[in-house]
Amino acid sequence: MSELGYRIVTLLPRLRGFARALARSQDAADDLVQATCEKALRHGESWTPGTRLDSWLFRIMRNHWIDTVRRCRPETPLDGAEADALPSEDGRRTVEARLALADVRAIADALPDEQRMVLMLVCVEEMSYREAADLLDVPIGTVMSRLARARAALVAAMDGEARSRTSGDRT
Amino acid sequence: MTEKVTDEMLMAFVDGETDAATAAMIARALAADAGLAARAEKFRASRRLLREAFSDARREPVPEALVEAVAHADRRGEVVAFPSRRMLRLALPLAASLAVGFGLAGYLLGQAGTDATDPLGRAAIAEALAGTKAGESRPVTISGEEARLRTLATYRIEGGLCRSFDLSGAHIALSGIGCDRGAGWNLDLTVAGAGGDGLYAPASEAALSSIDAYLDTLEASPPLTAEEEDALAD
Repeated sequence: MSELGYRIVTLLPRLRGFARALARSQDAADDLVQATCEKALRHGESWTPGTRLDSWLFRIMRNHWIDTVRRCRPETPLDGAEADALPSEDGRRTVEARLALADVRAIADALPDEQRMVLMLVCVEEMSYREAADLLDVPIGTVMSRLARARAALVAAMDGEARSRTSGDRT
Repeated sequence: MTEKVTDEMLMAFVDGETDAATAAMIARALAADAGLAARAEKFRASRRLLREAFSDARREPVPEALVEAVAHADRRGEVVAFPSRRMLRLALPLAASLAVGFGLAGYLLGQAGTDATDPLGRAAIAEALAGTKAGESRPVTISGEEARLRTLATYRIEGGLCRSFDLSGAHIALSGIGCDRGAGWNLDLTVAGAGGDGLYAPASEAALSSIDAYLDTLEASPPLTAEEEDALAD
């Protein structure tokens, strides 16, 4: 196996984690991981040794997800309309302050893809805001607003509060 | 003076993403406002909860099939443009393992006779194909070099069988088709690959389509299932 191939294999657990968050099911996630790795190996020359391989792979996965998989699903609301996609008020009210991990997953899964990607990169992959912004090709302010909205949904669930969070809230 | 502390500012503070001056301002605001401090603590907790909630997939063992698919794509330099590959996926039960990765456009059509020295190892490949069912692999020696032949799929044709295969070693990469029409296995078609491990071959539609076209010409069946292939041996 080539060095690149070997390094990709060692990153598979993290790629599966990110893919699971995108695809929301493990089967679909593994298909996404495989497609990502194949694409990466096919374009191995476009990775610059010395740069972060994980970021490069996440970017390939995210682009592949947007180009192919997501196209087959109903439209996901984009920034601005995202508040509509937060869990229902009833759903949130039933969640205790100490959230079960399954609830955390359910809340995250209900978020728009763009918010979930940022959550994964920053909170799970522990990337800096700057690294996440570079990977996603968005300004750092966009990373912050998506991340804050996504985590506010969790905070609201912890509170068990039924406070309405529209984009107009954010002053 | 303190300005209003937004969720974004709180979050950046607990994530360690604020500059020193802003951090000091937020720290003062938190000290003065228990509600705000509680909210900051929840933002901090949200990060930990998310990490825990999404760590399962990272802790599980990676399925063997996924590792194998990546290793195979690596060996082949993988290749095929998406529409073609999707068609192949539909057509082939071996799905993930059939990444027909041909590199160079210069390929050798094997129908022409070989010379006595058998530089391409045609006889050795044909012999190996005879005993290698779809999904199996075995070592082959070609011009003194160790390589590994792997049968990708077996097809029924009129009067016999064909097998598609790939072959890879340190300095050799081939794919092709061999058939047995009742008089022993013969190498019908080979397509040169990129030339060994560690090289990433650019796609060559020409190379891929030569294999597809050849199977079409033979009016080959869909790939046999493992059960069908086992039944042949009886």
